Amino acid sequence: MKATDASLTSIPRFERGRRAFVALSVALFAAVAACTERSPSGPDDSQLPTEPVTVTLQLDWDDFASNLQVYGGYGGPSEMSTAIVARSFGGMESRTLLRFGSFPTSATVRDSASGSLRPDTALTFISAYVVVLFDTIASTNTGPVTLALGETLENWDEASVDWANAVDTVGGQQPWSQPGGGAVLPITTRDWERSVGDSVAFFLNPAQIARWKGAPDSIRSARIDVLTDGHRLELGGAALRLVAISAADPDTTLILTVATTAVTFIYDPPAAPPADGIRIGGAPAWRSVLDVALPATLSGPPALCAAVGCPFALEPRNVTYAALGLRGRRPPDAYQPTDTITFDVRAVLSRAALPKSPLGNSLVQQGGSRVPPEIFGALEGTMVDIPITAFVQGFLAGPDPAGRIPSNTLALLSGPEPESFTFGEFFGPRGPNAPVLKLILTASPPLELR
Amino acid sequence: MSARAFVLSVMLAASAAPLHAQSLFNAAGIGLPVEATDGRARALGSIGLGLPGASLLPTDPAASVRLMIPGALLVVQPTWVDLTRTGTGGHRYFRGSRFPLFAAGYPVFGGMATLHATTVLDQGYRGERPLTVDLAGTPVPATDVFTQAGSVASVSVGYARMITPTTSVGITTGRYTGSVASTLVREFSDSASANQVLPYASSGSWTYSGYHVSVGVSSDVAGLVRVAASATVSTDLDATAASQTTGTDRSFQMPLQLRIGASSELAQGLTLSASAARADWSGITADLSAGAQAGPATSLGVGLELSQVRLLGRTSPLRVGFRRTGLPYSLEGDGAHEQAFAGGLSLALNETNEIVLAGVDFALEKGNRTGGTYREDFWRATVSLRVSGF
Repeated sequence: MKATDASLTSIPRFERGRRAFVALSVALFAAVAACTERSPSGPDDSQLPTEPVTVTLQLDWDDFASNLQVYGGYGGPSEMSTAIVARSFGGMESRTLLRFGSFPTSATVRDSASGSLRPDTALTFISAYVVVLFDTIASTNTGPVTLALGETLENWDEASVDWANAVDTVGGQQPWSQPGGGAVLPITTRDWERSVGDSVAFFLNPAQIARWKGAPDSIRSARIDVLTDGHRLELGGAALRLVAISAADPDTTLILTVATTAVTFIYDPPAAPPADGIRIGGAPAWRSVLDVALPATLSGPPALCAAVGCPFALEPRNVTYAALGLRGRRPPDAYQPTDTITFDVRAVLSRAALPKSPLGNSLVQQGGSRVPPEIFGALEGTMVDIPITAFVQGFLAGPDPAGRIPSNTLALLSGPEPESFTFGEFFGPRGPNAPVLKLILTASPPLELR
Repeated sequence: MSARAFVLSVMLAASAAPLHAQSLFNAAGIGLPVEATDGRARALGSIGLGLPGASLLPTDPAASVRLMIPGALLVVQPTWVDLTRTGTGGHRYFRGSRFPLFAAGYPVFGGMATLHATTVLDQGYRGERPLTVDLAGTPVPATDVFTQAGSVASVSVGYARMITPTTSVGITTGRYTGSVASTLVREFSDSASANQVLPYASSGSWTYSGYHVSVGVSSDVAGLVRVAASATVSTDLDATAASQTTGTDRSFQMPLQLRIGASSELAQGLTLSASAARADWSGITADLSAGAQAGPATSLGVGLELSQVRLLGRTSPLRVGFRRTGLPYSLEGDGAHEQAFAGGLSLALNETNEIVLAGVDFALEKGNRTGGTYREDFWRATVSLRVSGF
């Protein structure tokens, strides 16, 4: 041993071959690390654990829900991007109110003498028109209808105006002199037929142009009526266009757009709350709220019991799909949807605070659940699924790590809210078309080490 | 950073890397036993004891003392596998790399203290089951995907010393460690009728614990034959389920493992080695679920080493070998075994006064595993890095 120890003291460590050693070592490990791993997998399922079982269940209303309530009044027509005009349509009248901003006082024009661009404040307005864009699908007319444009003569508040009141704020209610927008100064009428185009232009006479040019915004306000009975038209937008010439370039005609500062609509009568059933949508919007209770254990179906035994304690991971099965019902004709209704589902965070309870995050897929309008008309009684899988899973999960108990109250609403003047209705708990809870459950025996 | 520090860092980092599965037989019983040997033993078809010279292999607890100077060893093992099954068409190809062994030794108290980190049982595999699920009267395609990842590992310490000028003894004691995670996922097809149906997942994870002791003896008989033997006895291997695991805690009876090996120089520079091992895993059958069967596993290996070959002016022994290894579990209840022909060489990266301070042992095996209707043909490379004298 001594001889060996003595020889070791003379060993020069890593003096030779150091570079080769390091290079080879790194290369070897790099090569191994670069190998793409592919896990062993068998040619069949013989090495897999027992196959899970997937079953479908449908719970009746009394087995999963209670306390259905419908609340209205969320948002208002001014928050929508569309407006309505109607006359004797299912007993409903509606008019659209517009307010425009100030006329432009200058425009950039090309100087006819120098050829350069410069602002010109000496504009002469030779014509003006209000152009209105219609939604040809959502509008109900199949032939020509007559529309009227008039200047409103009473100040109105876009956020609170309704059929009866020009202003309806707390402590500041001001009724119209005549319900439906008060008296108006007629400007012009035009016919519109959807087969011809999707817009109509109301031309202003010179006196009206002069009147609006220097007036405050409250005067530069208009109302659109439909004069033909039995129709409901949906407006997609409106703008005031000015035709002007400039002193700097008299040969050029300028088309200037005046900002539309407010668009809303008023209607009568307001929709009455449903005697029963579920209502979603409208403007102001309706929400339907219900309490959900799920069984903690299941005693069927037989396929489930055969696979995992019964009673089976339901866990969140077992719920691979949950949906409210709702059967569409025809709402009052005036509110009959003509376009897809987008549904949202959210948890009610404080039942006691309803109808002003805050709501949780959306539980439906991005974009909401879209229901075609036929469900509320020709296909009345057809069942549609409103998925609530995340809600059911959260309910079954129980309190979160912070001890917060998940809500068992569910709100059905339109998304966004308000989305449309129309609303969808579904049959309520009473009767053969009552809502059901559809469940797709998947379960497997405990995963054991083999 | 010095070259030594850099290389040691790489070796230590690699030894902590996750293991990757290399055989579908990992799905049998509680996994596929992994032999924690180096490139030299692999090339010689040896199970890792009775070889000439010194070694840090855990299967030969008494051999480390012959190293006399500090040393370390890291083994990396990539494998390429082609799986077939009688009666079913097609092949399944997979590949993986693992680090089955890290070992270090340091001379203390006139002997050699050792540290080993090894893989004991490889358990990773994956499987799929396509099926059709009836969703409220609508048939919807679905797929069950099962994934299991993990292994049983061991960390042990040992001590060996010479008791006579020709005989050494050694003992190691260690703890089983490691974990395995299993996940079963049912995914529904993204069809119009099922695009809102969420996947179902059931998962479980277990951590392993248990203890084992190995004793060994190694002796040069009459200066002609190196003979070594070792035995390993274990407590039960306990698998403790994590809190969210649906499965239960388990305990598996680990067998007594016996090994013997010998080598002899037939002629100058030509050494013959042979080794054998046996472990009766039958006792674990009662601990296995799904009716899996276990039985005795016997391993035999033989090899030749040409030790005086030199490459680039350095000692570079050439080796060939053959080994047949019994597997304790089969995928179908029948016996299973692995056999492979091997070849390899050593590259002395740094040697001084006939002492190799740094070297690489490389082995390449061509073999197969068979059990019932399953057959895996594989290429397996083993590369071990040795450093000493630090």
